[in-house]
Amino acid sequence: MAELRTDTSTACAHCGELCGPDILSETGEAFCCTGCRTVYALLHDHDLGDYYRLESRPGIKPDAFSAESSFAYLDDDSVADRLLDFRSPTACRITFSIPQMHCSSCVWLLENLHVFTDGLSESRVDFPRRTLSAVFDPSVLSLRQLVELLASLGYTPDIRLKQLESRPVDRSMRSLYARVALAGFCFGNVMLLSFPHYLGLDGLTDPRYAQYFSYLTILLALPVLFYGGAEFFASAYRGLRYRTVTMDVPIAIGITILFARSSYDIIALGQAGYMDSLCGLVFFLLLGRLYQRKTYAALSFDNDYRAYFPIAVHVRESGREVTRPLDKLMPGDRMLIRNGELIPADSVLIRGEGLIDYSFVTGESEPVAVRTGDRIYAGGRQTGERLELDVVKEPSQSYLIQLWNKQAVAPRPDDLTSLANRVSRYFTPAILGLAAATGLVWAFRDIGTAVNAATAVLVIACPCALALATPFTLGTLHRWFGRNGLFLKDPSVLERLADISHILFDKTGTITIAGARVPEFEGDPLTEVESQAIAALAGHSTHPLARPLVALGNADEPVEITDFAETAGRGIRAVVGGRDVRLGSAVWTGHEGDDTTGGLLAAESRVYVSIDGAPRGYFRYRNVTRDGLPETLSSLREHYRLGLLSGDNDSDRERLAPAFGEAADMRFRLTPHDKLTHVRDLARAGEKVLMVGDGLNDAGALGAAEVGLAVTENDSAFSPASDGILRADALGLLPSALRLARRSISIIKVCFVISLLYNVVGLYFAVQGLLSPLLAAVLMPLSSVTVVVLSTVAISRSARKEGLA
Amino acid sequence: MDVMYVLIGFSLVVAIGFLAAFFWAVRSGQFDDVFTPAMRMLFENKTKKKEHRDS
Repeated sequence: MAELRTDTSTACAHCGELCGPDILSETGEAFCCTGCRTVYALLHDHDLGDYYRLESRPGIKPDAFSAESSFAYLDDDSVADRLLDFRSPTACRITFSIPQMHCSSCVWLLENLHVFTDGLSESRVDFPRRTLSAVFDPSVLSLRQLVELLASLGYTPDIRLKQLESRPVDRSMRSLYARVALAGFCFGNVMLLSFPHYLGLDGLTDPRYAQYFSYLTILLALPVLFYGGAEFFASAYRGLRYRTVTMDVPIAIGITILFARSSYDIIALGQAGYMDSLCGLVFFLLLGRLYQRKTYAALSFDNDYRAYFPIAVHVRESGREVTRPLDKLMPGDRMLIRNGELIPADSVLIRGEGLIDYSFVTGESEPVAVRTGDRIYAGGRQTGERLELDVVKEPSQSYLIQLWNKQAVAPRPDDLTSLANRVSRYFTPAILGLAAATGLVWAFRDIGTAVNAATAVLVIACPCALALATPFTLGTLHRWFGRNGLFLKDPSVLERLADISHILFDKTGTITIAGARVPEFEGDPLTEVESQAIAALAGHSTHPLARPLVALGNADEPVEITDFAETAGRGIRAVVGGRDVRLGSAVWTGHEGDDTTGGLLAAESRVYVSIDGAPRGYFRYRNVTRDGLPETLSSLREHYRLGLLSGDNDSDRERLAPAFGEAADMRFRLTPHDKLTHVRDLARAGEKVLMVGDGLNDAGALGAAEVGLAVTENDSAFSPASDGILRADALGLLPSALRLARRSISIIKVCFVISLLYNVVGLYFAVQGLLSPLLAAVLMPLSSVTVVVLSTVAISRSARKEGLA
Repeated sequence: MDVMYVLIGFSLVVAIGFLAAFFWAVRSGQFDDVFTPAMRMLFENKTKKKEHRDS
């Protein structure tokens, strides 16, 4: 679109969008809209011009739709109560999610709001989470006024139903930091206290020192075992409850034995013990956990329908228009839905011409025409005029939500099937067996050495390096992907990604760009002047099918339009440049012999054209596929079976077939339930399915697939529950992402072998009862460091080779 | 040389003090957002000056 305006272009001083010189401020800056000019003037009036100095043209174009949408429901005390973190008569605290913030200027402005807002005493931004927490005085500034202020600046807070229900604060990160710090602290001190022993100074100094130091190490190891190690005991127990021997089981055994053996050595035998190894082990393992815990705080991977629905709707009540929170919406209420608004409950159309965009719900690319008396399902978006609807079912009972609830998949205990845990299933019994055998063999000769050797086996075999290979390899790759637009819920998804055998794509919004459609003309060819006239006429309509036609003309050559008339349900006409131009249904434009279902309000969209009364043909609309799609698909085809699951009609079949290849299974007109069943059938047949989709209609399939990736145009938009979020422009990343996932598994396997080799060396000494604390203290960290360095470097090199930045 | 017992014990207490300080910092949320403060410190506090002028 931009090139249409190139010659008149100036960038808006607020938001940087290209614009004409029509809207100017007093000082001569150009703006794209009055909204931007208002914000600019407001900021300058209050000496907040720094906003524009920190970043160049940082503004967000105030969205006309959200600026006019009413926040009256925020005056409702029950809603406000659930939104506020803290409430008193003179001070309230609230945390908003503001996905639009994107740069340091945003942070600066949002934190300086109090300069020109009475009653707002503090506002603080958490940029990674895209949240703003504000403290305000409700007697001066109401919650609604605060939200309206934010909306008028373009930072409309994202207030969702789901947010109202519960807002758990994730504090697990804090406790992990504390554990790592504690383990690190104790590790360092225990090593210092072990120094005399390392250097063989025990004999040189007073032996009482050595004893004193050893007792101190016990003291320091206690919190490491019980606080730092608690993670591993808990998850080992969790695994055992699922009847799986996870990697945490040998770790838990190892650190327990280490502590018991060392305490015994120190207290009963007056030896040095292995407390330094114990603390080091727990420290490294916790570091691995910390590394693996990297999350994308601003993204939400387990959205449900409530995050998609608005928080309140307009309702007509005894002649007056009021806003009502969605959970108070009852059957029989009369809803008012404006252009662009979501219909939140199953309802019947009472007044207005409905044209409902279900593309996100069903995958249909064409808006559906609805007439008075027709049933409308929740989840659709009205495009066009204002509607009045009677609610039939409460929002929580609507068809879509029932479907969602039925599809809800129980969360699987992911980490139980990971590669490390599968290895552990053999590793743990083997080590326990070896320890028992060692003990038994020695028992015939010397019972003391028997215990000594058996515990040494359990200590040295504690799979620290083994347990670190996975978090560091996958954690590193996880970060690489995040930087390139593929955000995975957690690194363990990568293991499943490596196993994929079958890839299924949704069509609308996934491989085609939602809402972008290119008109194609069928009929008597149009001259340039005629195209220009059609574009000019289409520009006068707000109809979604008219908008793509505007691009046919050249916006710099204005055409004179007179006698514009729009007949609802039929079409538009006007005299353009002296010629009578009509756009609309077949009947409206005199294509009587033609398909009479065509036209502005048909399921299969055609817009017919007549000029000066002569029927000329029709436009039909082609979906626009994403850039580089054929290359991506043909590269995927080499390794995987591909499939297409579309809720739309099959008009794109022929165009997409070459890219998908002959072997691909392309299915159209699927209901959300069909998609789910198809994925389940494939899974039952032993296929590991990767589902790539975007809409609510894919939610079930995304959940049922081995890995579900949700495609989204921008990070802040709603996406259904999934294992990962793929930015639309990163769709081409998919082949190399899958290659890297497979590569990471090979790297992990190499690391396993290396750490097993270290184990064999240690075990060689352990079974003979010769494992000295010094050897343990060297061997265990060394193997861990080798594995961490190797896995991180190897996967980073592979990622760079694949062209990730 | 018996002072060693006291000194080592004392040094541990000091170190534990720092550990406790770190724990306090984590608890009070200082590590919840480690990104925004880096942006914030580049902002000039112009607005304060204006308030002074007005008063």
